[in-house]
Amino acid sequence: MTAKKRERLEVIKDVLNTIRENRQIKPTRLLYASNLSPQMFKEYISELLNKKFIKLEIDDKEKKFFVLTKRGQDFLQEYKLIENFIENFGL
Amino acid sequence: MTMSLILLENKWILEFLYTLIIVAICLAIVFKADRFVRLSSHQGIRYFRNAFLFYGLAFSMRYVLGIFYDFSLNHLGLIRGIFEYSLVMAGFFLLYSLIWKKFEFSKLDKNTSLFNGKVIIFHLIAIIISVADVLFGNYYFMFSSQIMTFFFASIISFFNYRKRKQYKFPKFYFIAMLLGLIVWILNFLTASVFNWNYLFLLDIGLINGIFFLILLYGVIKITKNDSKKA
Repeated sequence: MTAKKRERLEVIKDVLNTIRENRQIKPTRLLYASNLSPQMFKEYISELLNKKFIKLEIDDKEKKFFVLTKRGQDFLQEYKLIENFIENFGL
Repeated sequence: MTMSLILLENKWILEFLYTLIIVAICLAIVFKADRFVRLSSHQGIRYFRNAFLFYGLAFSMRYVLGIFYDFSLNHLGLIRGIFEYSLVMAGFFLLYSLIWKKFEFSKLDKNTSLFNGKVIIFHLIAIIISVADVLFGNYYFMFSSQIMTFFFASIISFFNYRKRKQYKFPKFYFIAMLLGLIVWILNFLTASVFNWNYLFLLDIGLINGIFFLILLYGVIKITKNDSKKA
């Protein structure tokens, strides 16, 4: 049996949740955790950065990390409501 | 004085209050939905929001149209065209919010929801319908298009209700779409058989009001209820 294809919002929620759980996460680790192809991962990350849901930080050792922003936290809090809205109105 | 006379004598006040209520409901839905659009960029919510943006515009234009008609002002055709175009677009957006997933395959947020490649077809059809009605001096193109729109929306929302029994609102959404269909059929009959009888129009306005109230109720309930399924 094949797994159900994740909806766009579900992917975003999963990516943001992974970042929240780790507080900060390296791009490569996030790619593995997200279960996305590198191309799709790149597109999702660019969307999340554009929306300011996440930001890219660089530490003293020049290592890159993704961290969740306030907007990203707001999205995760409202995700259930948004999902309910979509299901109830058949959108 | 009979009730019907009172209603007829206060036509302008009634029309004004009715417009105010419907436009306020539409704006409330637009703002509530827009909050989710900004967070999620979900195309379905965008199209749903757009529907009520156009309903708000259409009902405002309907009131202006009444003034133009009663005082025989110039540019009546233009106002009527904008009114019909907005109303037809609102119906199209509402229907498209239910079926957009069948036509849009990109999972990422790339396009605007008001003028993208798919929606432009609706704009063209809405313009053709409103121009045809203005040219022929009737409303039958709009009525026919909206009867078909709500017929399909009723069928789709019925299947959504059957599929999503764990949620409470799809049943009400289906009822709202049925009411929408009834409103358009009655509009058609009032124009073609009852010669725009004002009391008939008042009844239609009442059913239409219920249609908007059901949808507002759903939007408020779902955007408020953060822990349970609405």
